[in-house]
Amino acid sequence: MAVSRRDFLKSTAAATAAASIGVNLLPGMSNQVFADSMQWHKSVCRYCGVGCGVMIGEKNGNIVSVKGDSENTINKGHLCVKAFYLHKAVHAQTRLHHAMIKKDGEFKKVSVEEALEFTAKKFNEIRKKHGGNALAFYGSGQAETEETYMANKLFKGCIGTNNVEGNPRLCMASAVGGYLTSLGADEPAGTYEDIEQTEMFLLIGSNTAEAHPIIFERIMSHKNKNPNVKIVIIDPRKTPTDQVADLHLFPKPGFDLPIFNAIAHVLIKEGYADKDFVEKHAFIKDNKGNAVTFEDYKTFLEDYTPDKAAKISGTPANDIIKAARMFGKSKTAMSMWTMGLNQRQRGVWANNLVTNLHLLTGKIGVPGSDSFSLTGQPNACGGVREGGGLCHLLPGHHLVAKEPHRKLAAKIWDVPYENIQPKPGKHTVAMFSALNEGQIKGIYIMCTNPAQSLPNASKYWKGLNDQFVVVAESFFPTMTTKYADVVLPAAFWTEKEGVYGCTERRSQYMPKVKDAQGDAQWDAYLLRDLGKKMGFEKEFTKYETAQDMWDEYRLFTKGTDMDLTGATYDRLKNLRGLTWPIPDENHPGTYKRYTKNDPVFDNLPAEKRAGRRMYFYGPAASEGKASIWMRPHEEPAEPTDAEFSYAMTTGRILEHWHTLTMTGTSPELVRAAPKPYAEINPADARKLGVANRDMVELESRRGKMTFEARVIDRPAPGTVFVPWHWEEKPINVLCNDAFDPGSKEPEYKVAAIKVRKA
Amino acid sequence: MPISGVVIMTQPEKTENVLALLNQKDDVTTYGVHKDYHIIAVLEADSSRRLEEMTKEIQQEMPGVLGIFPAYVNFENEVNET
Ligand code: SF4
Repeated sequence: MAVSRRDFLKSTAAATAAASIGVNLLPGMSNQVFADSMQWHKSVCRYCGVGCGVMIGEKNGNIVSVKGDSENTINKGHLCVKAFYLHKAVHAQTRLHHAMIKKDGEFKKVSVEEALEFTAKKFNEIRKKHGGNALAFYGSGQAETEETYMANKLFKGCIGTNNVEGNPRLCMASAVGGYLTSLGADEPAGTYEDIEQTEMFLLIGSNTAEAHPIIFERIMSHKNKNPNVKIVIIDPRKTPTDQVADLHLFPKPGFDLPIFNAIAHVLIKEGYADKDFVEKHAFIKDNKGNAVTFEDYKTFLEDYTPDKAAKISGTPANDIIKAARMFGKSKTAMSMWTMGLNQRQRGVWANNLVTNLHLLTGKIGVPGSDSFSLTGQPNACGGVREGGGLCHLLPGHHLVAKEPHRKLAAKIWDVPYENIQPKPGKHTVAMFSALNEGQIKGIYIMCTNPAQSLPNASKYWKGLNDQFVVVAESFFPTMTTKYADVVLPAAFWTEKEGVYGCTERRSQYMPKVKDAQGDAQWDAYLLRDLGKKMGFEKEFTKYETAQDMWDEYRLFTKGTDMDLTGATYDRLKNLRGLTWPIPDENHPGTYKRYTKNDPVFDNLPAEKRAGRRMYFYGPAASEGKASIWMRPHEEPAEPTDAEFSYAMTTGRILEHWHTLTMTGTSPELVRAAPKPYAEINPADARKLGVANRDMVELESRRGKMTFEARVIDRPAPGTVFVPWHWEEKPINVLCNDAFDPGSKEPEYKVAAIKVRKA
Repeated sequence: MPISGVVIMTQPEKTENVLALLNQKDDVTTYGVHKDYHIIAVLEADSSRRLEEMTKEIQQEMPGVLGIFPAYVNFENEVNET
């Protein structure tokens, strides 16, 4: 009987979905039957930090199909609905096909060669006249590790400026600060493997269901099979994640710090603290970092009774006690959080207070227990945190401030040691302020859209307008390309090879599947060739392939806490990634850090390990101990008051991703997605006389904007939620650019606003 | 005509109800309830936009749907048309 291609595709779709849960739906059917000219390539999803494995179906140079990679341990064959956009992004009508230089206010098409020549000349002029620190680079957690690596070498190693930043500063920096100060090294101790082994999830400031759907699937699946598993949410907004929650605490935005201290208070009072673990594995520190005793800590926590925390946070004391008891009673617990905790004036403290709960109860370093930060972007961890794409870092968790680290970089990069400055460069907000003030006169922006995504965004448009701006992008236009003097067409996902490192310390290889569109080139080559044209011929000639860059980068990691020595391209091409440390080519990767079977731990002298199950060997730890911090309550930079009486918080929704450069690439998709809106609690709407779909004006101290009101029982009363994706309503203009003094991460999540019917 | 094979995760007590509602929908073909309250379905649509709308409708209109996870998406006609 003849089978139409449509029938075949339908059967394939059903069988693949069934196979992903281990069901053989159509025995005897093989995907090879109609295999025709479709080629399947193992890759990684382009969208979020979960790092799902994707099989890309390519036919005649087009991406015509995707499926979840059933061999990938992260997603085991499943994807989330953003998979519907993957091909759209590659084939988008808004793809940038050629380079452009702005002349007399108009973009003129030029060759990439000419655009790079022009950029090199301008950058050299600026450098000669004003010094290397008048130049800057602003990159992305979406860039591949090799791309960030090339930028780091060009700017830090050759031009001689540490003004190298990336948008992970805006989302992950507080998590980095939290891990460094609590555990002594960046990134989590565990991996996703803990999900299926835990008895309790504590989800904080994270709309996991919409922002990290595959993680949510694994959480739900675990709970479905084990109904006794508890899920507690701490978030000012109700989200689809609530469908499976046992308890939800709704703090006022920015007022959750006392809740964590109150949970610790209950844990100690009711006997859930593991004093033996604390004694052997942690220092207790006051807010200045001085060591104090357990008794001092208890005394400090006396002040954080559930009643007091309830008063400050607006969360019932009973719920705080219930959450503490669930945490205490569960044999294992896994905390997960995202921007709700990080994008805060006290983001590092918030991170410390969550990790405190794990250290206090010993719920860390064992299967099912971890303090686990979720990442937003696909390579924020791999490229920027590990690759050293921030102003104080060098690749491989090294620091510009440390002489041996600069010496190592100079040796590997083959550049004069003096080129690498010992002082950190300007962090993101300072960098864009310096552009405003004219201290930075030229900037190279790669794969990100700061004109829309910076907090208090409009404040920084002046600098982008005034100074020499180069934007390397795959899509055009974006809000940032409007300010560009030079636009460089960048190859997109599937058009280049490289490595992404996701939330769980896993580095995964992505192949080049098709040629880049038009004149577009790989970002790493654009940077390499710019370097050569700036006069660093010798420094950049050696990089002919992506593997050349990756192999050199691995040298930085040898012997460090994030050793990638064993993660060769050959292995990564065949495996579904490896979780570091991976000290040699036979090493299978590390599930749990700081404990048995972590190669760094196993190689410690026996006396260091004696009597302990964990040894925190990270560069910022001492005596192998983690730190429990006595962090006090501090209000957000802009609490609500009589005039600005609502707390505004922003976030991501399921259908969209960041500033829509990728998910808004097709007009039909933009039409399908909801228009800009603000969520308002029904009780507030009644008070304001606002009905669903009425227009409302939101006003912060930085500006005002109107939105369609979505009256919905999602934000807690007094809180307004606005998704941040739309260019026509760039809500970040209203956000506060106050930042955490430690991590320099801005407080996107809390701004005081007025709300009125428009 | 994009086509997608999806796994629909449901709350155990609502699985049968979700299956019945799915069976009433045009362009959705179900392939039964499998391990741990998962429904296998194929969604057919005339564009990616419609595919995405369908998943949203299913999620919003059918109580008990915890998540929809595409395992396979084919959009060869759509790509050829652009
Ligand atoms: S969860 Fe993230 S990585 Fe996985 S398919 Fe969805 S967007 Fe891609």
